[in-house]
Amino acid sequence: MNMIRALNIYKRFKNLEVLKGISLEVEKGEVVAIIGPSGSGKSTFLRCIDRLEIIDGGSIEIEGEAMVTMDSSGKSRYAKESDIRRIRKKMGMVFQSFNLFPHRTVLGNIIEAPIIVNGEKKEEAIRKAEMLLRKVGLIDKKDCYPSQLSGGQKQRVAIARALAMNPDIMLFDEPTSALDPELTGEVLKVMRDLAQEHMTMLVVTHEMGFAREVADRVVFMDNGEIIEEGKPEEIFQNPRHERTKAFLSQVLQL
Amino acid sequence: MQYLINITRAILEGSLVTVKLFFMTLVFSIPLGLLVALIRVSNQKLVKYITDVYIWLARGTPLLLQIFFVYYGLPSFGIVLDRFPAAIFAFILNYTAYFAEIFRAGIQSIDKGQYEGADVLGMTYWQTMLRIILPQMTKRVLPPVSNEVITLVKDTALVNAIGLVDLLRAANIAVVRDFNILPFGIAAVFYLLMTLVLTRIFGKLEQKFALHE
Repeated sequence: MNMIRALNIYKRFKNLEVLKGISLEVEKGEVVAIIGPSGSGKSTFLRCIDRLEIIDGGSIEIEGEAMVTMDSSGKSRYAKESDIRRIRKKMGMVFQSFNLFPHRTVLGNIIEAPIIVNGEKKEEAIRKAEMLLRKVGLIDKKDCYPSQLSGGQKQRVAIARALAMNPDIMLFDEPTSALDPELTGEVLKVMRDLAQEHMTMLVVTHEMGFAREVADRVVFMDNGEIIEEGKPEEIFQNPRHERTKAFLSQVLQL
Repeated sequence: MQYLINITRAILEGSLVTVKLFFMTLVFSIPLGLLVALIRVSNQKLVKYITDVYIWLARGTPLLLQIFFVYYGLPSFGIVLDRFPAAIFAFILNYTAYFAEIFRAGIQSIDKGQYEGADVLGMTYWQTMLRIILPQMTKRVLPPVSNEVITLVKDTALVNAIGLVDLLRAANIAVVRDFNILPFGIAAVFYLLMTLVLTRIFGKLEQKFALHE
């Protein structure tokens, strides 16, 4: 079964067409990296999958359940809000800008949603949060506020926070783009660990090293379209399209 | 000395009116202001328009005029209020508008990412508002709220105009009667003490909220 099945996604901002018929399927346990130049629509596409953006055309199924379907005229129709709520719970999202809650401690950030959204008991939520903090190597920071953490630490807390909701799928929107170069490694390591545990992951990234080594599949997007996709070694060593070649030669040169 | 004690007592009695007016205004206008602010950031077009007009009226005319309107004007619409309820009503009407605008600005200053962060965790709009947005807003609005509260202490003197004997009026009575301006000095000390206490309280609150930044 496909964990994510997005078909023919169209998205427009005012007059600007950002996604021009994108289709992507992600299987259970698969790690898919989406690469491409700025403005190619890759973040928008990821945000559409978690309904942070409303699509104009196309359909999205998560674990076989329809979040958006397409009617005969090609218009998208979203499912009932309660269904969408249930479907979205299967996904965890990590943002470029972390979006931690500044008025809550690290622990408070992680247990918030499990308690008030899932109705977990506080002790249970704390126990799980502490386990996740050990996993991302930040158990000693559990009583700190986000402002006291480095960017890399914040992002690891954000990952733990998303995992605390027990998602089946993790979406990453340029998780290391806001970090100082020396801090990207610690975040990528956590993501690599997750991949090894066979978490289904869709990662929009500028980290070519990560895409090459960790991803099962690399998708190259440009100008609102998927230009080419394949195994990392195919994309990085034998890109077929001119635009892929141009992009790769630019970023790999740096 | 006996004279000093006597006028201080008279002023103290007047300040009861001042303090009562002050607290009752706050107790009502802060929650109401928050309610109006929440309506204004929602997408309800009609109620939003109504609150626009209300805020324009409440901020666009002098508080003194509003007090006159409630006390002298409402009776012609069949609503007759005593001096003190009329004063409180006018104050709540006026201060709610200012608090609403402070809270609205505070809510809108919170980064969009906070809503998205809560949204992807499955939180509803109201859960997000109550647990994520409003606590952060509170910290940001403390300085303007403190300004408003201190202004309120001094605005209470306006109730003189409809014949209520507040702190300043009590002092004024003594001044006129005794041809001595000492009561004004005592009144000033009273106001200064009240604002000093409030300044301290807000300073402490700001410190408390500053912890996490």
